[in-house]
Amino acid sequence: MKTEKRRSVSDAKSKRFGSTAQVRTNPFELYLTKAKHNITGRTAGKSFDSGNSTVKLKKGNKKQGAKGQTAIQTHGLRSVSRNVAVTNRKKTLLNEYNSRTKNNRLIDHRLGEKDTTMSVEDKMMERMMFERKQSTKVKRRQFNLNDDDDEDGSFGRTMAEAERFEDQEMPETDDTDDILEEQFVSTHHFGGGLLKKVINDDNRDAQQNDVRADRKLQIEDIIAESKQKKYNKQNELDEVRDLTKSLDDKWKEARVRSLVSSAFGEAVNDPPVESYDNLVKMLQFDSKAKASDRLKSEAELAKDARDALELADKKRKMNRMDGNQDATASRGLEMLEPAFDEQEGDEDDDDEVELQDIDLADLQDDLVTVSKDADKKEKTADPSDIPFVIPAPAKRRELDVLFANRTPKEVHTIVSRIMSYHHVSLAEANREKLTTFYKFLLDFLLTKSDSEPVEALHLWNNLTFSLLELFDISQVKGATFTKERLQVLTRLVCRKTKYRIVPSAIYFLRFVTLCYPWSKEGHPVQEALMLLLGKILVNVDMSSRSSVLNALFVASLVTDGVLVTKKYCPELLFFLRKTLANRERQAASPDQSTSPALVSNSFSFQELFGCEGGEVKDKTLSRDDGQRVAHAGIALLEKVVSVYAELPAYTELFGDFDELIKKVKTGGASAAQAEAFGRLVALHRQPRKYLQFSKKPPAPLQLLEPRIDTKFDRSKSAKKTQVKRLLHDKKRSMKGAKRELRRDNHFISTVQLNEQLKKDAVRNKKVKEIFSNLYSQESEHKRLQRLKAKSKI
Amino acid sequence: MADQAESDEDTPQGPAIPRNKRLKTGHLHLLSDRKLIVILERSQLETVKSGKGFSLLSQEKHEHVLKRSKRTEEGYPRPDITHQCLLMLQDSVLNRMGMLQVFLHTEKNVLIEVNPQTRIPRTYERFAGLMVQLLHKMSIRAADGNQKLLRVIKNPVSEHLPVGCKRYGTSHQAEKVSEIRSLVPPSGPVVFVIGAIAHGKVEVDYTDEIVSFSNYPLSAAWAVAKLCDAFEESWAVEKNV
Repeated sequence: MKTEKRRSVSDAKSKRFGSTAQVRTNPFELYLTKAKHNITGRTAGKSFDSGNSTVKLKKGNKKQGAKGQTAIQTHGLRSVSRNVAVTNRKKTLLNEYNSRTKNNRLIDHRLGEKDTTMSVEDKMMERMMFERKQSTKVKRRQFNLNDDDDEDGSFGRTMAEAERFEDQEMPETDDTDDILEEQFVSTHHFGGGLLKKVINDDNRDAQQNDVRADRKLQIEDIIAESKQKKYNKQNELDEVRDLTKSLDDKWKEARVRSLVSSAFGEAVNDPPVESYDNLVKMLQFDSKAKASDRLKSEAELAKDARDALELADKKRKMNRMDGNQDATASRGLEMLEPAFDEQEGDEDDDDEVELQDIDLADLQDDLVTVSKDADKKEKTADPSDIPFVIPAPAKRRELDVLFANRTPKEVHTIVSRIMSYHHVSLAEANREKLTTFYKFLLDFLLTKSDSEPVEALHLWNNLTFSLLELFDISQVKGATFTKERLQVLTRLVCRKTKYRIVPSAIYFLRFVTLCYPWSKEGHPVQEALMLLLGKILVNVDMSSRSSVLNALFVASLVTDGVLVTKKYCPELLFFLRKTLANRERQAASPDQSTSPALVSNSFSFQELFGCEGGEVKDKTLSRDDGQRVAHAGIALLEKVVSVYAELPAYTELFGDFDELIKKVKTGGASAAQAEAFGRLVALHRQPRKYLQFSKKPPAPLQLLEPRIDTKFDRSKSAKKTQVKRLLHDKKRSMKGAKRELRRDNHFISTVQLNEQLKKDAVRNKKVKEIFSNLYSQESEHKRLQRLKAKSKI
Repeated sequence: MADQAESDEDTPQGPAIPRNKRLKTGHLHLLSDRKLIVILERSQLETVKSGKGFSLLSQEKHEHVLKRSKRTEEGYPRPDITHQCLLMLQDSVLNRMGMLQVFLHTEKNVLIEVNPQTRIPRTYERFAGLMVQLLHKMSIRAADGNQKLLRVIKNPVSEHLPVGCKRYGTSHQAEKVSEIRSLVPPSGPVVFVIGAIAHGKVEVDYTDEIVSFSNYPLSAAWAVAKLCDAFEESWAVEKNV
């Protein structure tokens, strides 16, 4: 590149010579370089003449069948550049060579001496001009006094100007007031009087006294005048002040008046606001609601109830003393009625729920009839003798006394009165009392359940709500008591392989399911309860009729739990299978006296507790009973199937029910039901899915990111290339320098040779001359000698 | 076919052995015989020196250069078409299954082999940078690995194609408009030549037949997309996915 550049420089220089045009046409002068890649926009070195000499050749590549183009660049003209180099050397090196032996040299600085075009006159003229110019620059000239056109006048003016005295103006002042009057000054200032005096002197001396008096007078006058002036001025000032003051006063007065008028006068004068607008505004700001009394808190309500009870009791006592029993009692009840009505209503609802929950076939209807009977029976007792204020019983016996000969409704009234009188919010000590009361009540009910199971139902119906409330109130202690009871029952059940369920257990289990509802998932008591129920189902004595029915009741409880919690209970299925198998045994017996159509599918509550027709019986299952049991069992199974259909072991669990049901079907009445159940089981049965490997998607071809240099530069490393380039440059410049030196030497030697040759030529010439002279001298001499000899001869 | 016969005659020692050692087909040993080879002909990839560095010649950026070098008459270069086509090809399911091989043949007669594993830069700017590097360095490696993803290979392209496979040229001006699916062979490789140009025709000597995909003129990217789609469906690639 460097050489190219150098060459191109020389080319550029050579353009100055006229001969280039001829050289350019010579094709043999051209250097040719081939570019490796043809890249658009890249200048491949400076060409000598890009217009003409850039030759583009078509490189025909047959094999590739391409139309690749390779540019061929041209550079330099050898002869021209050599010529330039020689000229340069002549200018520099030759000079140096010529003056190599000289220490100094003369330089002719004479003007126009080197200019050959100038004539002698011109040269003289120029030199004179130069001299004149030089002479004007001399400093001495400044002090030449003879010079006319000097500007030595003061203040920037020439003397001539200054002497004219024109435009000499005194400074003007505008405030003439402060300056004394001209007349006064001329007469009284220094010299003024003198001048006058001189004039007076000229006139006459006699008037001298007058003049003196006159002067005195004049001074007096002046004083008076000035005093007058002062007085006038003061007067004027006072007058102005007075005037201003009076104006101020007037203005103030006027202002006050206007203010007063704006405050009162305008309001009076304004037309009245329209009544409609007024009304609208009033409506706008009218209060929309009034603050109401807050709701009574629980404690306050409890207190009110208690006060009412106390008042009623007091009145009752007063009336009893008066002997007017009936009226007061009714009045007292009337007072209490609203509160209790509500409670009763709630209770009824709760009872209904409870009854629905106890879903043992169609037990409900019988139950209702029984309760009606009970009501009728016990209506005979008088409710009016119940006191309003009843202390909470501290002993179990007290409770028995309290409830003696009371109908369930009365018992309920008593319990609710005790509860409202001993409300927890009234005193914290009440909680303890109520807890004890809860224990006693539960104990009482359970005892009652065992002794009179059917009557106990009414008690339970009436008291369950209160009991649950008490359970809540008693908190941990009540719960502990309940759990203890449950533990006792569990121990009892586990001890026997053939357990006969007592009615109290039935009531208690039902109560516990209400205390710990199934929806409370994962409660420890609930788990224990489920286990206990399962145990009962397994251990139940199937030989007793009532026991089987009770077990069915328990199974219904378990079913409820299963429906809610969706847990698998193997005991339930075991028991139900057992009932069906039992029924099968029964069906196989040849007893077919009663027609199946007449058999009722439901059980009464009396049946449940084995006391039909008023007496307690314990008999084995009859054929009808067996059918009904099967009916109930299938009903429970139907409920459970849908829940257990999701279990993976569904097929195994319900597989052998088919066989049982087939046999049940032959039985008669429940055939249709059994068939329906069979269909239900089949419906939920689904083909097993076999274990399969999850499908793996095929692995896609992995894509790789190409490596892109963000700073792509064709040079590999700037530092490396820099060093390389420097080395290269150094090498090339070294080479160039050597070449230049070599050429210099060559040039010098050529010069020396020429000198030598010239010298030799001169010498030869001189020698020849000398020789020729000598020859001619010799010839002359010889001729003379010859002449002499001739003459001698 | 005449061209093919001639080219066979050119190599008396027998048909050229396909040199595709770098194609990774090991994971597809069952389907490896099926392959679509796409050659993007006349793709306008060319480096240009502008300012300090080199860049890919394009109409928008180098109008002045084109004018200066009197190249405006031969049509503006469109490297973006190649970019679009490559994106379509390399992102296709067919490629992810390893059933695609792409070659680029530029108008400057540079032949480039594209590794199926190449992820083409999404933006044009990056693509242009990549191509400039490729044209200068002759190959591009993976960012994290040593695989060569793009390589400049020796001409002619016919030497890199498998022996005996059908080679279709594509042109809207072809007499016959055929469904792509009818052109899909049940097994074995097949070559399609697509012009990566805005308009015009690709004339190459190594094709057996010129076909048209549609009654309407298609852009290169769309033609390539249709092609890949048809091959995916015909070779039932989806069933494996």
